[in-house]
Amino acid sequence: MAYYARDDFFNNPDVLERSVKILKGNLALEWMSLDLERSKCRPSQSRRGLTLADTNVGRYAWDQIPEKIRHNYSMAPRGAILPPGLPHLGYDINRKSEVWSENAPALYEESKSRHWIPSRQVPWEAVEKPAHSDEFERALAQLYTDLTSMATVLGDIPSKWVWRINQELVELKMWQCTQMFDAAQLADVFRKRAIAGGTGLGRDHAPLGELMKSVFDSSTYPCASASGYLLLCGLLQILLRHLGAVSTNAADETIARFGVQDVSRSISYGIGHMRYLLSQRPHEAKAIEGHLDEVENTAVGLLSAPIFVSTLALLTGGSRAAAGAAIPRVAALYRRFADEHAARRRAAGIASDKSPLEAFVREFEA
Amino acid sequence: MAIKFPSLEFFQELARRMNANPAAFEKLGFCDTVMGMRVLGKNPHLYSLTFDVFECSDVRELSSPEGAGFDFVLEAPLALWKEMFESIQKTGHPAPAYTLNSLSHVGDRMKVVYDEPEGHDKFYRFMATIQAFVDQAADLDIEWA
Repeated sequence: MAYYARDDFFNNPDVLERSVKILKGNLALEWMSLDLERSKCRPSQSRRGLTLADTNVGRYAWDQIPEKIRHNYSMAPRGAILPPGLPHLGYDINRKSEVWSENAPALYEESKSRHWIPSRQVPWEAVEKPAHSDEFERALAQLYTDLTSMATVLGDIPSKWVWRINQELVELKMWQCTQMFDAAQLADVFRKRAIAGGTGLGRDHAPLGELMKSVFDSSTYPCASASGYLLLCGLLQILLRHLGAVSTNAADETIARFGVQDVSRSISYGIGHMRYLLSQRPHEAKAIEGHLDEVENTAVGLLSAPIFVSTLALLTGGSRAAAGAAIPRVAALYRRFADEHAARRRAAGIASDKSPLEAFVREFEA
Repeated sequence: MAIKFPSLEFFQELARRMNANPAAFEKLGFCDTVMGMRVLGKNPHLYSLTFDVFECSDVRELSSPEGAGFDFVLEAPLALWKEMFESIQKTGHPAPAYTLNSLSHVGDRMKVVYDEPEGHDKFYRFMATIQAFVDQAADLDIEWA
C-alpha cells in the first residue's frame, strides 16, 4: 500500500465518541449550509436529453477551467466545495490545453448515442456462406488480425493517460472512457470476425508492431493524440472504408459501416485538440510536427511491408491471380490516405513539408 | 404514386419517412450535419439535407452550394444514383458495391466534396444514419428523369 490515511481512525477514541453522538440523533448538518450557486438545467433539445452542454453553467462549466489548474488535485468533482485536507491524487497533467478539445463533450454524447452492438447487429450468418473464395477469406482474416492490433492500441492510448489527467477535466476523461470502450469493442469484433470466418487469425508482423509502438510510446499526451488520432485513426478509417468497399457480404459491410463511425470521432477530437492546444501554446507545434513525421516513418514501414501490401492487393483484386493487377488501385488507396492525412495536419495546424508518408506515396505511385 | 428522381419531393419523402420512424433512427444515434446531394447530368440538381439529432429537419433545392454551410456534398451522375437506388430496391439495402461508402471510396464514381476535413469526417461519423436514410427509398415508386 502506498498511501496511509491521515489518522488511525479505528483506534481513535474520538472517532467512536463522535459516531455514538450522531447515532443518538445529534446530527452534524453544517454541510447543508453552503453558499452554493443554484441552477436549473433542462434539456435544450428534448430528443437529445440532458447533455453535458446543458449543465455547462456557472461554476460547473468547463469554460471555468483555468489553463493551469492550481487549486484542485483531489478527486472532488469540478464545482464542488473543497475543504482543506483533501488528498493530493498526484495528477501530473494539469494544463487544460494539454488535453482539451472544444468538441470533446459533444463527441462523448455522440459516442454514447451511436453505440452499436456487434455481437447482435452484425449479421453473422453471412460469414457462414460468404460470396468469396478461401484465399480471399484468408486475406480478410489477415487484415482483421492487423485491425485487431490497431484497435487494441487505440484503447491503450487513452488508458495510458487518463488516470494522470486532473479531475477538473472531467468531460475530457469521460470522452476518453468512451474511446476505450469503442476500441475494446472494435478489437472484439475484428477478432471475432477473423475467427468466425474459419481460417482464424493471421500473422502478426514487425512493421505493424513498430507503428503501434511508436504511437503508444509517445512521450507526451499531445504527441500521442496527434499520432494516435490523426495518423493511426486516419489509417484505420481508410482501411475500414476499403474493407467495406471490397466486402462481398453483409457481415463485413456492417462491420466497416459502424466501425468507421467510431474511429472518425477520434479523428475529430484529434484535430480539435491540436487546434485548442496551439491556440494556447503555438510553440508546441514544432515538437508535434517532428513527432508526427517520425511516426509517419513507421507508417511507411507498414504500408511498404510485403505482408500488408499483398494482403491489400489480394483483397482489392478479389483473388490471388488478380492481386498483381490491383496494385495501382492499392496505390490509389495510399494516395487518398496521404492526401486526407495531409489535409488533417493542415487543419490541425501541424502541416509538414518533410512528411515521409507523402514522399513514400509519391515513390509508390511512380 | 411515382415520385420523380431527382426532385425536391423525392428527398422530402425520405425526410418524412425518417421523421415518422423514430425508433429506427434513434437506435443509430445523434446525427448532426448539413450535407448536399448533387445529381450531375444535362440538368444538374443540388439538394441540401439538414440532419438534427434523429431527424431530417430541412430539405431544399439550391442553385449553388455557396453559403449553404455544407459539411460535405455527395456528387454523382444521374446514372450512378439510379444504379444505387435500383440496388437498394432489390433487397432494402444496397449490394456491397453500391453502398455510399463503396461508391465514394476512391472518388472515381461518387465524389465527396468538402472544404474542411472535419466536414468530410462527418460523412464517416454519421455513415450508418445516412445510409439508412437513402435505404428508405427501397419501396418508393421512382420515376427516373
